[in-house]
Amino acid sequence: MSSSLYDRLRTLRAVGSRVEPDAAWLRSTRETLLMQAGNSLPTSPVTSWQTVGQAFRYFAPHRLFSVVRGPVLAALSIFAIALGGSIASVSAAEQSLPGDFFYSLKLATEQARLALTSAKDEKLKLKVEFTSRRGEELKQVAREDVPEKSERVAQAAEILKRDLKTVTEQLNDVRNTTSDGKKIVEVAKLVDQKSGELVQALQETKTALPDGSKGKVMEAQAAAADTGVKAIEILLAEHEQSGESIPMGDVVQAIQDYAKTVANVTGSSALTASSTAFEDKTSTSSVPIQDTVQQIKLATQQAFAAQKVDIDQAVASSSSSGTDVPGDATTSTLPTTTSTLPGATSTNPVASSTKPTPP
Amino acid sequence: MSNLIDRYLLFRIRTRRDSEAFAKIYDRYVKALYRFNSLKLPSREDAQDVTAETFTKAWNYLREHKDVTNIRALLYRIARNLIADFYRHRPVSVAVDTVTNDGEFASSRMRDGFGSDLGREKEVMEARAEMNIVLKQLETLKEDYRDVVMLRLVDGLAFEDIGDILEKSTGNVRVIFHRAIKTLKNLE
Repeated sequence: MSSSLYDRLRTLRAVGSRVEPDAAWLRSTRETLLMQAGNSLPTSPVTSWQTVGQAFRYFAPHRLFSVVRGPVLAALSIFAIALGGSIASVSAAEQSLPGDFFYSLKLATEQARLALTSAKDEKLKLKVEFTSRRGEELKQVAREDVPEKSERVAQAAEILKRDLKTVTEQLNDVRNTTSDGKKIVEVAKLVDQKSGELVQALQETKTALPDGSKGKVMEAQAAAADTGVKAIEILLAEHEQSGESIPMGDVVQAIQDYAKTVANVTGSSALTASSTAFEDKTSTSSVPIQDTVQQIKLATQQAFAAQKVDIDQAVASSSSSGTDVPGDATTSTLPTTTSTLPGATSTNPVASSTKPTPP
Repeated sequence: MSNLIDRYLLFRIRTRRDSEAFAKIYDRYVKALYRFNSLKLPSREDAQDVTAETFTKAWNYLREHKDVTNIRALLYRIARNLIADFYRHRPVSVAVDTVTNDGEFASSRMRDGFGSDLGREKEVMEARAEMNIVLKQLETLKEDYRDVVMLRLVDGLAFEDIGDILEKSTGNVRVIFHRAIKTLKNLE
């Protein structure tokens, strides 16, 4: 045993590798084996799913899988966190109000929904829905008791105003591009109804607010009223174009409802008059109705303009008196209000302000 | 690549109930397994029996277990167990048996006019005797060491297959092999 154990083992291997099994034995064993195997094969059919599963078992690169698994799992969890985060933040954003951290995300989500809608009338419906959300937000912000409330109210009112403007534009757009009268009437009715509701809701919001914030809300209210008029105009125009898409009764009803709402809000006697005067005019031709709509439009604008002047005056006097005489603000506001109010009413020949004319 | 062929054949057996695929596996491994067995068993017939039984057992195992992916490791594992069983049931003086059996066998085959030549037979017989001596010497080694050294040096298997046969990780087998070689050199 001169050579090392290692070498002897290698030699054994060399000898072993030269061993050849007997060819006849190889053949006979093969035949026996094949026969045994054939006899003991399971007969149940293999489903295609099993085939796929087996294919995966035998051909999936196991080592590659274990190498890839780590990074893939890491990437997946990052995605899960990112997406889960975005889902969570969008739902948080749903609850947010103007001035909140997530509010812009809420607006962005809505924009995304709008962008995913292609039909113009559907888009408008969605926009109307979002705009009524703005009204709801403004209401909530107005109810809050936070230091920066006035800025938040101003911001919410500004956004609402902007959205109402967009609704008006889109309504025009739908009217100009859609040939289906029924669709136009449908969206115009929706806009009319929603803007009426908005005008009403904003009135409640407005009365709860201090003078400083009223102006902004009133502007939004005026914008809502404006949108409502636009919707009525379109309803009327549709009726004139073809009586089939909307009956006259509906148009008159819409005009009456609108006039009533705005009259309630502004206290404009002209609007109250036109809303009641309609009742015996329903059967007349559409030309005077068109005039009436124009009158209502004008009266609305003037009523809101008058209100704005009132509010501005109240703000100006309270701020000036607030610095000079902190004690009794109401008495000191009266003289300034009287001095400007006649000017305000003079620019407003149709509508008269709700506020009692000061002595 | 050879691994992929094995996988394909296993896939055929699994999904097509293809006994011919098992015959292909037999063709691929029968010689290697016969060599594996021939030096460890006292006679050619024992080697043949154990080799045939290895494939029968492998087939039965494949039918009952669906988790086999390394058929080569399975075959060697079965063969190892069969060899161990062989000696468990026949623990008496193997070397003497070997010589007589093979001597008779070789001459009878010579008379029949087929089979390998006498020189080759003699070499194998000597190798068996040498194997017995080497195994005796290796008995001082730990069982793990001995297994890995034999499978690697004598049977020339890959570390990966040795890992599958001994149910260890490839890295572990590698480490065991290098430690075993160190110990071997210290033995002399």
